[in-house]
Amino acid sequence: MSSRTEITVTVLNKNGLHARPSSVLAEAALRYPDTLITVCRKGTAVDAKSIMELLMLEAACGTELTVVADGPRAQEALDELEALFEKEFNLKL
Amino acid sequence: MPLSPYCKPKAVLPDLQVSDKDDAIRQLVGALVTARVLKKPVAAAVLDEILAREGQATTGIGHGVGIPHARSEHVEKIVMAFGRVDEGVDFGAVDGERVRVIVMLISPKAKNDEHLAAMKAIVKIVRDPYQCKRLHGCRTPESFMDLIGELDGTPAK
Repeated sequence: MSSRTEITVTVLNKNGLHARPSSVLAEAALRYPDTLITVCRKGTAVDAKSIMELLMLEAACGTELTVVADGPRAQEALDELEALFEKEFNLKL
Repeated sequence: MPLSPYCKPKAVLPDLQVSDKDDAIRQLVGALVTARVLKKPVAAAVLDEILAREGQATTGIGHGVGIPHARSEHVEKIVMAFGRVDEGVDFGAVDGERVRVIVMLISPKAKNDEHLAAMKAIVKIVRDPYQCKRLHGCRTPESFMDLIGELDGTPAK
């Protein structure tokens, strides 16, 4: 059973998707080894499992991103990642 | 974003002898003072900020590169330092590799977009296997400055 699904999220962190939130996001995505997860900004699509790739998005606060998941646990992965964006990656002081 | 305006030869230490990660970061902050891009009275505070950030999660992003960094109220523009440790130093990196190249970045707290842009410019070099290898091969401040100068303005692959 494979399914491809996507969501749109907004970066809410004041400092944008910098190294710390990127690492939290990548760690979460890595918990879905059998699911391909991609984060897209305009024409750029990067692997959600790589901090380096996520940093290439240069996503500041307010940036809209599309997260695409393809795999057996696609929906579950997107639910988890969406919650992370909403909770500002649990980094809010 | 071009990085060369923020790199100074005196803040490039291509032959660091270090006892551990904190020691490496301390020496690079010292180099920023020597290069006159960081004022001596704030050096200790900036060092604390970088070490505090490092304490939250490793900046060892892989491929033998560490990018210790901080957003600080003590700088008015971005300052960068570069260090190379021949035998490598343990950064607890994401891929478990020892860090041999350290690119340190301190950004003004108020200029978050610049911080993200500088980070992207650094990562752009590191993620490209060929350029990353060249970065690892910079054994003099001049070769580092030349490489950064050459890569400034190269479009992202």
